[in-house]
Amino acid sequence: MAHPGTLGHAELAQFLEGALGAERAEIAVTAAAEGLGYRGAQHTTAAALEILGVIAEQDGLVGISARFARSRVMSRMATQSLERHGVVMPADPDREAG
Amino acid sequence: MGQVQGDTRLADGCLVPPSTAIRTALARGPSAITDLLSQLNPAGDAQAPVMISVFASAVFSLQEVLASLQEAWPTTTVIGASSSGEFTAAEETGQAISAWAVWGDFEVQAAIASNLKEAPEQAVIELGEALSEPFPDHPHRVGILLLDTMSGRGEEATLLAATLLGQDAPVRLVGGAAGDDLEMKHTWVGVGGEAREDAVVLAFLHGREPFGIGVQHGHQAESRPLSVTRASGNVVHELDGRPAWDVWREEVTGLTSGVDFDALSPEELTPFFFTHAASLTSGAAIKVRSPLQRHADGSLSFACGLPEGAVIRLTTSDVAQQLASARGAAEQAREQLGGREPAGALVFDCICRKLILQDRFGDAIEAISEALGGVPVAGFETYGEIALDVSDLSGFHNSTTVVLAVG
Repeated sequence: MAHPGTLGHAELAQFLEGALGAERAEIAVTAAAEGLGYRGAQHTTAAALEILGVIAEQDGLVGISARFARSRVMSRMATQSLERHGVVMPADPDREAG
Repeated sequence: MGQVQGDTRLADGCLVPPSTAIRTALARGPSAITDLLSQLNPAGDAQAPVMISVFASAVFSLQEVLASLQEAWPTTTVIGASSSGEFTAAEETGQAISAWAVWGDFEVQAAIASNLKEAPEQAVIELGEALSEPFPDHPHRVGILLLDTMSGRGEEATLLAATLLGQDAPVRLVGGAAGDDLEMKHTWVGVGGEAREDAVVLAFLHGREPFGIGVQHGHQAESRPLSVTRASGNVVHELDGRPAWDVWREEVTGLTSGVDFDALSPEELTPFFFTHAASLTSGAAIKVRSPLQRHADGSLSFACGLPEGAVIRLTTSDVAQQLASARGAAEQAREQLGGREPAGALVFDCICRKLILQDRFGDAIEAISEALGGVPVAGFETYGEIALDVSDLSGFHNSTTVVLAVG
């Protein structure tokens, strides 16, 4: 089970899968992580953002997807941080179930 | 024939929506624009809707359609796209104009930006600069994104919009890639009285209540995995180290029978591209990616980028899956309305579904309306669909139904 504030390698790739497909997303994350010297199955959120930052420097859809993924990871980090400090986040106003 | 729900008349006969009202219209022929206006305003006394979304077959000038609606209702936000099939809950047809008009307590902003193919980020930045006004009394918003398919920037534009426009508050997006009656040459989008190629339109609809977004497709991956070994932007040159066309033709021949794909004209080939689209694996699901054109050098262009190293599988589908996915998208949208009854829905539905469903495409639209309580529904047959919710990780789809329900 992942520690709070960390992201699994596969979980990080999932942020890119929708636009790139599972296989290409895995390649992108693995190459960037290895280039930065990160070889574990878990990444701190800082490392995860660094990995996505490297991918974001690529041209075209791969880079754009990584920038988008960074925004999603940062949004999740902010939510988790608030929750760890006891701030109860209201339900997403645009996802209220009927 | 126009359809309306939710409006009432005051003692003086003036049409006033008590809450949200949706009216839809569908018209064709030389008097289509006049007929459309008559259906949206049959008694000639309706107050101006807050927004009209209009979709016009390539036989019409989108600019003329937009300008006519804007002239009729100068205070209304009018957006639109060229299309490849037009529909309301009552009828589905081609070479027509469909319209979806909404009245109620909404704030609306819209803008258009050009040069989408060469500079998608700059285009989205321009949209953001034009659409930055906050509406704190209307805390729920949805963006309706319409883009020129031939730019090949569908996913890029969608992700950029979510990244650049969602920094203060997550943005939800729906929309579609414009069509041109399957000619695959020129697609248009517009706002106000202006239509452009190589452009993107974004309208933000701000409301006091939640919007509902539903998205589903009815395809499944069938072929063996194929690696994109050479690609540039939205053009795939090689699959498995060979010309992309050769590989696509061989694989689809295995999924069909008796078709000489090399003998088909571009117009005859397009339906096969849509019905046997490519797909990307994303978790337990697939994202569909439709080829749009075959080029003389053996490459294939798509509606959005496909990077080298991606692995695709070609897909198939059948009528039952397509009907079920349409209803499923509507049910998904309805669940997000916070308990409010739907007033109507704007639908972006892939042209490929029409090619699969043929005469039963109207049944799918009817199923969407039924799942929402029989409300007015209108939309167009797209070359790509956009649906990105606050927790989604991509937003450009093919062969998919997207439903925006408004309560």
